Amino acid sequence: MPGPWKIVDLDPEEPFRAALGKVLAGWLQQTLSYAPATLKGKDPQALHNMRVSALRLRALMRLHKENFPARALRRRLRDLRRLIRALGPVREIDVFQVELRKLAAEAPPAERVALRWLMAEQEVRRERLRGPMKDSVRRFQGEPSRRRFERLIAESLQ
Amino acid sequence: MKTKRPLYPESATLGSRARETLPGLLDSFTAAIAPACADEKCAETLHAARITGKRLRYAMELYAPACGPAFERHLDALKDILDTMGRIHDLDVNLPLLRRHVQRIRCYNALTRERPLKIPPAGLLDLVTRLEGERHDRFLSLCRSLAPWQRARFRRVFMTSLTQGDPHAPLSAAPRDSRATPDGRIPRRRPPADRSGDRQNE
Repeated sequence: MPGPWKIVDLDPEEPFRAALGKVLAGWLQQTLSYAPATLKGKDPQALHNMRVSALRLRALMRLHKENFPARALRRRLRDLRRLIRALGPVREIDVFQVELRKLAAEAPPAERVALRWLMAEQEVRRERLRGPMKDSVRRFQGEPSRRRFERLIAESLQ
Repeated sequence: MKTKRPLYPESATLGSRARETLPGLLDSFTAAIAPACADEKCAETLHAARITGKRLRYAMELYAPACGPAFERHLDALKDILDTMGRIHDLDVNLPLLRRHVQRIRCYNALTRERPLKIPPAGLLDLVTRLEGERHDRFLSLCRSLAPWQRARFRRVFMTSLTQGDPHAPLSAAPRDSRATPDGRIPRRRPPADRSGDRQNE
């Protein structure tokens, strides 16, 4: 799955507010597009991409906060913070598991026991963290949350 | 929905906003990398520098279409720097887990009397040593990559790259250097006066 690196072609002469609106709407769509695969849990890259898109959305909203009503912005940033905090620990385990799997493939059989123990333990931890993570993703992906974000971006950056 | 009045005119373009927003973010990043390079062991300062770097990167990506190829090169350099910082952060998260696991295996082995049931920790110890070495190498490489960003003239070079996509853009849109004279020149620093005579008189 490719990374969510480039989303819109911007015209340098375009008014800034319109350009920002396009970019933020793009990052919101990107974040939401990875939700189904993240919920399934089979593709660590989808979770990573969802997290990166959400981080970018949050960073740009914060950086250009003067464009948004303070209260609505605070609430949307809170939604993003919850999502990012839920995705972060699962991502850390995914990164660690990649390292461990690579090592287990190279290690002699006698030494694999120690690695398998650690991998199994991390897998249990991951499953435990995925429960609250799925709740956060579903809440973020839900129609009311999506509409609130879209409305904030559309009405503030017309 | 009530929106605060933006701090910039409606006619602002990507390029003009870039020249207002990026210098501050660049300053935050360069201020954060100095302590990060000063202490190899301190994961917190490095992580803080990484977060300010990410903010700068995301903003640079937004403004890149309005800037020239030199700006793209700065952005590519920043991406490489952040990739290295990301890998160091992953190691800072993973190494303590591995060290703790080695300790647990040692405890288990100490409590297990039958030799065949003992778990050899050699592979894990090798991994810990290898990853510690990798962290050290990456830290050195990071400090080398960050050196140009810490030079005094880098800010001016960076600011120039912002205007290369738009030949009509005024450089003065960037926040002025506090030492600048009214005509925009930055005075040369005078060499410190010889006060040895003063000290002798005291």
